[in-house]
Amino acid sequence: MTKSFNSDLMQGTLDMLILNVLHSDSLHGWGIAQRIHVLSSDILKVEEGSLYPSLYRMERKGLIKASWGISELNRRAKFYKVTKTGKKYYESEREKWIQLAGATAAVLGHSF
Amino acid sequence: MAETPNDLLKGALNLLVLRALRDESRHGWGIQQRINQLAQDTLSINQGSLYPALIRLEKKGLIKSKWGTSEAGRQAKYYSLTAKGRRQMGTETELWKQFSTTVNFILDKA
Amino acid sequence: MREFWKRFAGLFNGSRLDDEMREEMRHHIELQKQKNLEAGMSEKEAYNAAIRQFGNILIIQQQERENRSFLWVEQLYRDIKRAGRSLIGAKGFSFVVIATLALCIGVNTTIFSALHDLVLKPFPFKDGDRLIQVFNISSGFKGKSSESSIAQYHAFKTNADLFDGFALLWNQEKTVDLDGYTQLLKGKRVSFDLFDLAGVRPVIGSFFGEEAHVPGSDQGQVVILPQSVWENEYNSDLDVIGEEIPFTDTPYTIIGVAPRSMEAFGREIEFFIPLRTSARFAEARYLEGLPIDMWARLRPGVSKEAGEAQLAVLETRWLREESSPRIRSYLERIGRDVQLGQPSQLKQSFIMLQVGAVFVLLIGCVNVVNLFLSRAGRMQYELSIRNALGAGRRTLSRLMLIESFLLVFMAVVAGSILSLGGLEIINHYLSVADPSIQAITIDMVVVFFVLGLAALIALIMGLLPFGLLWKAGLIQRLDNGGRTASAGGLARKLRSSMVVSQVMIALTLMIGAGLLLRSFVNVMSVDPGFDAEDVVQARVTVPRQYRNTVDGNVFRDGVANALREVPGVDSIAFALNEPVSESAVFQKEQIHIRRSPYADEEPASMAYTLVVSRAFFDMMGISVLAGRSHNESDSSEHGFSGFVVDRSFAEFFFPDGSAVGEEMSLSQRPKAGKPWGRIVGVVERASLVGLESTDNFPVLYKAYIGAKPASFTLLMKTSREHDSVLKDAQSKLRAFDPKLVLSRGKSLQSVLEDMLVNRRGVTTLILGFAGLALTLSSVGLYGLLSYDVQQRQREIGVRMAIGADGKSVLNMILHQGLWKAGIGLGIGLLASLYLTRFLESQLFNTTALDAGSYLAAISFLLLVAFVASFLPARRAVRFDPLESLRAE
Repeated sequence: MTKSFNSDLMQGTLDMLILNVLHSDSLHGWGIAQRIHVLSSDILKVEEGSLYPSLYRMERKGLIKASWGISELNRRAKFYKVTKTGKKYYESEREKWIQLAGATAAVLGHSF
Repeated sequence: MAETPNDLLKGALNLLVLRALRDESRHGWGIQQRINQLAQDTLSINQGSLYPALIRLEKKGLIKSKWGTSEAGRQAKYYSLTAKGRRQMGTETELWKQFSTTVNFILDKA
Repeated sequence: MREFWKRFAGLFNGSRLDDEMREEMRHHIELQKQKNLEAGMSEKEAYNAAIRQFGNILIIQQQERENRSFLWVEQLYRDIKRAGRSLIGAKGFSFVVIATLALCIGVNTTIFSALHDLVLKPFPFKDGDRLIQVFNISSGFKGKSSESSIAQYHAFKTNADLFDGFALLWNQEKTVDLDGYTQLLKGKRVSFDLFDLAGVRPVIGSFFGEEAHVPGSDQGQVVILPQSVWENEYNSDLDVIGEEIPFTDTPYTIIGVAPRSMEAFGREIEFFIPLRTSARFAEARYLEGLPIDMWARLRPGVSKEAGEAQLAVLETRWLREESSPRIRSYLERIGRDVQLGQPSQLKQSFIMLQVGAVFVLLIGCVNVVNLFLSRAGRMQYELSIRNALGAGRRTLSRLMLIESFLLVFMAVVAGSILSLGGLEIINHYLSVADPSIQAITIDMVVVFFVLGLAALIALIMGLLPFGLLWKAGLIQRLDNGGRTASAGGLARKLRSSMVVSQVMIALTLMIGAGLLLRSFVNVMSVDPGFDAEDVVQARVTVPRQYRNTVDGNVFRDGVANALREVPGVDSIAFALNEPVSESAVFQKEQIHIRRSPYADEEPASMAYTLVVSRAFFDMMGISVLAGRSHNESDSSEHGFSGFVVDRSFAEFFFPDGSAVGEEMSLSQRPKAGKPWGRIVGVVERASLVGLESTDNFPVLYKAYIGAKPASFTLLMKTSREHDSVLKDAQSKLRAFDPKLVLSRGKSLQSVLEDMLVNRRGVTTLILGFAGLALTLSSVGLYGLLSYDVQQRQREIGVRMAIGADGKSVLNMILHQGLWKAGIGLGIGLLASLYLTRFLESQLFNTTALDAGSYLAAISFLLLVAFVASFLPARRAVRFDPLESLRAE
C-alpha cells in the first residue's frame, strides 16, 4: 500500500510534512522519517532516497538549520530545526495544500 | 485563485486529467476548462504543466490522442481515456483520498 | 547570494561535507538496525534490511554533491548558448542595440580617456597630486597666463611656507651644427629645484645645483638629457656623461640623464639646461613677455585654496614693499591675481564634452531600454511558458540578464575599437592644439570605468523591462494565451517619460551645439586685418659664419636673391619670430612714451613687439594709415630708432592726435644723453595672435635691419601650391649654401586655422553629439508611437469602423507625439537656460541666451518630432478597420 503511492505526489508534500514534524522538536533524519511514519499510522512511508535530498535542499534554502548533537545511540548526529523562514514557508505551503486538496476533492467528488 | 505549486500539483494533476476525460474526449484547452469547471474555479491549471502531464500519461498508456477538428474549425489533438486509464483512475482516486486524508490529519496535528 | 557562497564554499570543503553526510547516513542505518533488532531480527538480518531499505547511499551522495557544487557553471554555459541563439533569432534587435551601445560606450570611453588623462590623472610623480602649476591671471589680459617671473619665484620661494618648493621652466630652442647641417633642438631651461620638486633621481650622472644659475659660472653650460633621447640618440651609452653637445653658441657638457617621467612637463623635450635666475635678471625682466611656467609642490595636507591665498598675500606684500613704482602701477592696471591649477588649458572643453557624451549615453540607454521593453513584450509568451514550467522570477531574470550582458559585452568590444579610433583623432587634434600635451593612452582607470559603465547598463537593460512585466503580472498567468497584451500601464508611463527625457536632453545638447556653432561662425568671420592667403612661412637657421651684422646682411640678401629665382614667388619678407602665433608665446615689451600722460608715475605699458622687414606690410595687405613703413634709417647696430605702430597703439597712447613723430623707447627709458626713438608710421590693426583673441594689446613693429639672429622666419607670397614652393625654395637655398635647412614650413592660413583647432574640435564633437542625440531621440519617439499605434490597432479600428475619419485619427496620434515632445522641449528649455551658463567661457561674440540658437534648436527638434510622429500616425490611418479588428 505505502509503496504504491506515486512518488511525484510525495515529493510535493514531503517538504511540508518534514517542516510539520520539525515544528515542535528538532530531530535527526531517521527520527523525522519515523515521526511521519508513526503520525500517519504507518500509511505514509518516507523513503530515505527522497528524505535526505529534501533535507539538504531545505537546508540550502535556509528553511531548516542543522546542528550536531548526541543521539539515543550516544553518537554524534545531525539534528534539524525549522527556521523562521521555514515556518513562513510552511504556512504558505499548507495554505496551498489545503486549496489543492479541496479543489481536487471537488473534482473527484463528482465521481463518487 | 491561489497559485498552485508545481510540486504539489504534479501528483494530483494526473488524476485530475484522467477525471476530466471520464465522460468524453477533449483537447488540451477543453481539459483545462473542464478541470476549472469541476473545481468551481478554485484551481488554476496552466498549460505549462498540463501538456507535460498529457505526454506522461500517454506514454504510460493511460490516455490516447487523435487529431480532430475543433469547434472553431481548427485542427486539434483530442485525448481520451484508455481502458487501463479508466482502471487506474479508480485506484488513484482511492489512493488520493487516503493520502490527502492522512496528510490533512498530520497537518491538523501541529 | 548566500546560496552562491554556500556553493562556493562547497567547492573547497566538499570532502568534509561528504564525510558528515556519510556519518549522518551511517547513523540512520544504525538506528534502523536497532529497530529491526527490537522487532526480533538477527544481527545480520537487521543490518541487511536496514541497508536495503535505505537504498544506495552513493546515489544520494552523488545527487547532493551535484546540487551543492558548481553545476551552475554548466548551467551558465547552457544559458549563454540559449541567449546567443535567441539573440541571433532577433538579428535586427541585436544589431540596433549593439550599434547604439557601442557608439555610446565608444564616445564616452574616448572622452573619458582624454578627460582622465588631461584633467583627473595626477602627475606621474611621487605625490603628484601635490604638484601644481602657478598661473598669473590678469583681467586686463583675458585668460590664464603662465607668464610668471623670476622675481615672483624668488619672493615665493623665500616666504611661502605652505609649499615644499617652487621651480621654473622656460621653453628654449637651440641649434646644433652636426655633420655640416644646422639642426634645431627643442628643450627647456629649468631652475635647479625642478628635479627635487618632481622627486626624481638621475638615471645616470647627476642633476645641476643652484651654482649653475650664477651668471658667468662655467657651471651654467651643463645639459641633462631626457631618458628617451639618451636611449634613442646615444644608445643608452653610460659614457655619455662628460660628452659635449655642440650647441651653435657654446658647447654644453652632458652631466646626467633625467627619467622618463620628466617628459610629462612637455612633449618633445630634447634637453634640460639651467635657467638664469639671478636677482639682477629678476627685476629687469619682470614684465617682459617670458613664457615661464612656474610649478610648485604643496606641503602635505595643505589645500589648493590655502596655498592660493598665501601666494596672493605674498604677491600683494611684494608689490607694496619691494617692487619698483613702475612695476607696481603696471600690475595694478592689469589687475593681476595668482591661481593654482592643473596644467591643461583644455580641461574645460573636455569636461563639457564629457557632459555631452554622458547625455548621448543617457539617450542611447533610454532607446535600448525601450527596445528591451518591446522585446520583453514580444517575449512575454515565451517567458510565461518558462514560468509555467517552473522557472521562477530569479531564473527568468537571470535569463534576461544573460541576454543583456551578452549584448553589452559585444557592444563593449565594438565600442572599445571605436574609442581607439576616436583617441587617434583626439591625439591628432591635441598635437596641433597644444603641443606640450603628451599623447593620450588608455589606462586601467579607464578600463574599469568602461567595465563599470557596461555592467551598469547591462543590469538596467536586463532587469528593468523584465521587472516591469513581472510587476504588471503579465508573465505569471497565461490567461491571455498568445495574445499580446500591452506591457501594462506602468511600462507605458515609463516609456512616455523616457521619450520626454530624451527630447529634453537632445534639446539641451542642440542648444549647446548651436551656441558653439554660432561662436565658431563668429570666429571664422572675424576679419584678421591681414591677408593670410597665399603666404607661406618657414624657419631659416643662420649658419654660424654669418652671425655678425655685416655677414648677416649679406646672408639675408643672398637668401632673398636665391628665393627670387623660385618660380611663382611674388614677394619675400623676413620676421624675427613667427608673425602669427598664440598670445602666450608672442613677444611683449615695455613701452615708454616720452610725452605720456603717466610720465610722472613712471608707468610701464606693454605691447606685442614684432621685428619685420619692410616688405611685410605690403605682403600681408596691412595698410599704412599715417607716416611710412620702415626704411634703412630706422635701425642700426646701436638699436632701433624708428618704430611702426598699429592703430590700437596709436589710439591707446595718443587718443587726441597723431602718433607719428612721437618719441618713445622700449624696455627702459633711455639713459641721460641717449636719444629716444621715434614713431614713424601707423598701420591698420591686425590680429596676429589669432582670430579668437579678444585682447586688444597694441602691436609695435621694429625694423628688421642690422639684426644678427641665429634663426628667423621667412615669408613668401605665392600663387603656387605651398608644398612645391617650399620644396623649390629649399633646393634654391641649398644651391646658395649647402648647409641651409628650411624647417616648419607652413602656409600662414593653416597657422591661423591650427590656432582654432581646439574650438573646431570641440564644436565638431558637440555637433556630432547633438546629431546623435537628435537621431536617437527621434528614433525613440518614433518607436514609442509605432508601438502605441500597433497596440491600439483594435481601438483605432473600432473608431474608424464607427465612422471616425482618417484625419481625426491622424490628429489624435500626432497630438500625442507632439504633446510628449512639447513637454520634453519645455523642460529641456529650462534645463538649457540653466546649463548653458557653463558654456559661457567657450562662446565668442554671443551670449549663453542667444535667442537665435534657442529658436533654431527648438524648431528643428519640433520638425523632427513631427516627422517621427507623422509616420506611425499615417500608418494607423491606413489600417483596414476590419483587418485590425481581426488581428486581435
